[in-house]
Amino acid sequence: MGTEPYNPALEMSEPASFDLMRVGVVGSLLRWRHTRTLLQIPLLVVGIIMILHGLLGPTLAPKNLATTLTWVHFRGVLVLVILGAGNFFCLACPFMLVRNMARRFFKPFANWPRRLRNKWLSVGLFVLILFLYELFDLWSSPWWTAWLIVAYFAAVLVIDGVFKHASFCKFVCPLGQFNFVASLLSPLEIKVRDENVCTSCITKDCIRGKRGSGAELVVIQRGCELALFQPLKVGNMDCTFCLDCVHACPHDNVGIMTRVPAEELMIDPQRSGIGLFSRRKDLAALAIVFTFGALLNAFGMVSPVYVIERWLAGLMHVSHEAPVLGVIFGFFLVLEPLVLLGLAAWLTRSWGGIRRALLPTAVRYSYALVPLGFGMWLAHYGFHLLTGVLTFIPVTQSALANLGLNFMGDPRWTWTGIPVRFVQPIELCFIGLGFAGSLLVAYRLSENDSPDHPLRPFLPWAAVLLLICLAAVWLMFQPMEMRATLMMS
Amino acid sequence: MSRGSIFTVGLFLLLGCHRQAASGPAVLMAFQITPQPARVGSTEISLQLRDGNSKPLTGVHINLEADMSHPGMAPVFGESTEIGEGRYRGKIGFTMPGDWVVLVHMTLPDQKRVERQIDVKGVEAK
Repeated sequence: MGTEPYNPALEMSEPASFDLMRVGVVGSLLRWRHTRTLLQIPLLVVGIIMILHGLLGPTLAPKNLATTLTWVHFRGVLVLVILGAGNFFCLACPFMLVRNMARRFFKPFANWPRRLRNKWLSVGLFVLILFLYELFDLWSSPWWTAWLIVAYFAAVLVIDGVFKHASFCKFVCPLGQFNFVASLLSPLEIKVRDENVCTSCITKDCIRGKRGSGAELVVIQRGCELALFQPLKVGNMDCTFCLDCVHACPHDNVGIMTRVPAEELMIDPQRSGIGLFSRRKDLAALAIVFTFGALLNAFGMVSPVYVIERWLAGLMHVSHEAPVLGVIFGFFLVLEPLVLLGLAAWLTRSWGGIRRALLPTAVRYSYALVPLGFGMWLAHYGFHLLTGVLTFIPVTQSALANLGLNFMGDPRWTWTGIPVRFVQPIELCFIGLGFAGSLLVAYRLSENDSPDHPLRPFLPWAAVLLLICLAAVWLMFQPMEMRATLMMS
Repeated sequence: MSRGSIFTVGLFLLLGCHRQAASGPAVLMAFQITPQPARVGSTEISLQLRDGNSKPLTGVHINLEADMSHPGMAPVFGESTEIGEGRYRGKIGFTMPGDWVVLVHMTLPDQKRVERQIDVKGVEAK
C-alpha cells in the first residue's frame, strides 16, 4: 500500500479498448506529423474566403458566405462534432496555423502574466462576444462577421507573438473555452494507453518536447503547450487535441480513447495543468456562463425578448440598446445564477447536512450544469444547422457566378434544409439528454458528499436543473423572430 | 521589404477592401407595403417605377424575393404584374416574424437586369 504513485486517471472507469489512433487509415492519418496542418489549410482557405466575401460580397446576410458559414454551419458542425467525437475544431484551428507561421519570424519572449493564469479573462471575453453578437446583430452583418474573424486572427498573432506556449488557447480564446467545456461531454479523450510505460519514462517528452541529438538540444517536436502532463491529465478540459503529445511520446503511448461522456464532471482529482475543479472558481464561472449563456443566446432570437426590451427601455428612459442589453445580461448571467445556485447551495448545506462553505458548495455543484447547457447549445445551433444545412450551396453558387464562374449553375435559393417540424423533436432530445446528464452528475456529486442521504443535497440541484430545463423547452417553442433592430417600436 | 512594412501594406490592403457601388440603368422605385405594419402571411407590395427622366417604366418583368435577416432561412418568392403606367403590384408571403429584406429583381424591356432592395423591419406575428 502506498508505494504506487497516485494517478487521478484511475478514479475514472477502466480505460476502454477502443483507440481511434489504431483504427486503420484514420489512425495512420492521425499519427502522421503533418495531419494538423493538412486539416488547418482548408479551414484557413475557407476563413480567407469568408473574410473577403464578408467585406466585398453581398450585404445581405443570407447571401453571404461569411454569415452563412459562420452562424449556420460552423457553429452547428462544431457542437455536433464535439458531441459525437471530441474537440476536433481546436485540432484544425486555422488561427493556430497562422500563429505557427508567424512564429517562424517572431519568437515569443514573455511568459503569460501570473495573475491572468486562469479563466477570468476568457470568461469576460466569452460574455463580451455574446453581448456584441446581440448588440451589433452579428448574424445579420457580413461586414461585422468578417471583421470578427480578422480580429480573431489579429488577437492570436499579437498574444502568441508576445507570450510563449499556447497562451491564447489556454487563457484568452473564448471559442476555445466553449470547446473545452463542451468537450467534457465528448466520448473521446487523448490519454495514455499504459500508465506503467509513463512511470518508467525518464524523458517526459509529452510535456517537455522531443529534442534533437545535437549539442543545442533544439526542440524538434514540442510537448503540450497547455501544460497538460499526460500521465496526470484527467479529461478534456484545456485539451486542444493538437496531438503534440502523441507525436512527442517516444513510446507511442498516447492515444485517442473512448470514455464515458461527462464522467470527469463527477470526480475531483488533482488534474495536470488545471488543479482541482472544486477549487477553480473561474472554471465554475465558465460553466455557469456556458449554461446560462446558452439560454440567453436563444432568448435573443424569440419574440418575448423584444417585448421585454421595449418595456425595459421605457422603464430606464433610454433609446439605445446597450444599457437595456446590459440589464438583460446582468439578469441572465449574474442575478439568476446567483439566486438559483446560491439558494441551492444554501439548501444543500442546511438541509443536506453538507459541511462545506456556501461558495465552495456552489462551485462544486455548478459543474453539474454543463450537460444541460451543452444540450441547449446543441438544440439551438443544431436547429440553425439542420434547417439551413443546404444554404451554403446557393450562396457559393451566387458567389462564383458573381466572379463569372457559372460551372455550379444558377443559385438554387430554395435549397434550405430540414423542415422545422422535423427538427423540433431533435431539439427536445438534445435538451432531454442534457437534463438527464446534469441530473446524473448532480446525483453522483451528492453521493460523494452524503453517501447515506444523497437525495438531500441532490434535490435542490435537481430543482434548479428542472427550472433551467423547463426554461429551455419553453424557449424552443417560442416563435422565432430575428430582428436586427431590437429597439424599434 | 521589412516585416513591419509587409504587415503595414497588408493592413492597408485589408482596410482598403470595400464594395463597389452598384451601377446600372437609372431606375427610380417607390413602394408601398400593405398591411402596415407588415404581418406574417400574404403581403401586398406595390411598386412605382420611373426612369432617369422621371418617365414611367413600363413592360418590366419583376420577380420578388424576400429573405430573413438571419442566414439559413428559406426565402419566399412572388411575382409582380403591371397594373398601370409604371405601376406594379405583387404579393409575397412572410413566413415568420422579424426583419425581412425584399429583393425586387427587375428585367427591363431591353433585357437589362436591375435589383432593388426594400427593408421590411419588424414583421409582426399574425
